[in-house]
Amino acid sequence: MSQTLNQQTFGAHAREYITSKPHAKGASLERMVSLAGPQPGWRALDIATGGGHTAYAFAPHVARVWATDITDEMLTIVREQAGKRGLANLRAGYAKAEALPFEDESFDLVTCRIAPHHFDSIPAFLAEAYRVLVKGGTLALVDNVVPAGTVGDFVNGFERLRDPSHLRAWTMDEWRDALVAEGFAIVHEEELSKLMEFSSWAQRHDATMKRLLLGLLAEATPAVRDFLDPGENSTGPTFRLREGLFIARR
Amino acid sequence: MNDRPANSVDPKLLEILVCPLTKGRLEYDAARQELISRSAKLAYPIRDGIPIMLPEEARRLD
Repeated sequence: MSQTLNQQTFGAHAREYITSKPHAKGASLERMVSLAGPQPGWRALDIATGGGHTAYAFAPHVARVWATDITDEMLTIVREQAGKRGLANLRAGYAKAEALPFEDESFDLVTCRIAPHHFDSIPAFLAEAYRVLVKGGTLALVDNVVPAGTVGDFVNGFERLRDPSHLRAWTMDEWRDALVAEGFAIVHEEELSKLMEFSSWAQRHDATMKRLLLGLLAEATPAVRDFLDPGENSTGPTFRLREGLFIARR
Repeated sequence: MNDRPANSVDPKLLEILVCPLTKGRLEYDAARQELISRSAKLAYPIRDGIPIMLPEEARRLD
């Protein structure tokens, strides 16, 4: 089948996302669950589920979770993992975030974590999330965020060089404006800093590309370095990214 | 993972699925393992029990 860049990228690297620390264990995952306040009767939809971590985290707290993605390999993994983890209420399906194949008002909760920066259209995704949520339903959202202006442009460029399917991480202001424009009421928002280990972040690349990416970190301007905060730990070079977390109600 | 054959599609999923393009109703063709959208003239395949709700993966109906 013909594949989009996202499908190719995530198909090739699908297994990395099962163990990827920022995806599997990031602090924002626990925060997201506790702030969303899932209820036992809820029908939940996890959009662009990737390695499925958000779906696994919510499944024990709700009646049913539909985990959707556009990548074959990801959904195969999600089904395997749901079986291994004994999550019988988790179902997988293909769906594009901007054109969801669900009836209006089908879900009490829509989640999406560390994915929208890959979407063709974040406003179209938000419109679809709004449509499939019941009135009063909850949207729990986490994505990488950047500062406004040139620092944010640099960070997006740096991320895109590592992963061409990274389109653009938004600023907190952009998220707030888009959520409100769609009709959501924001009930909570926060920014979380996450430590990125360069060796696992860049593991898909060869030595030349790794040197180029490290060079960008080392040579960045002071304002960019303030944000990315390059450092070292036992795994080698590190830097920081930020995530924005929003809980909104339809 | 659950109480039904791995390759059958979940009835609860069929209840809420619509055509991603038209948001119209779908008909389940169990023999061909397809979900038919008359409004979009497309048949979405079901592979290993997972409906592939992507228009670019769908079969065109004449």
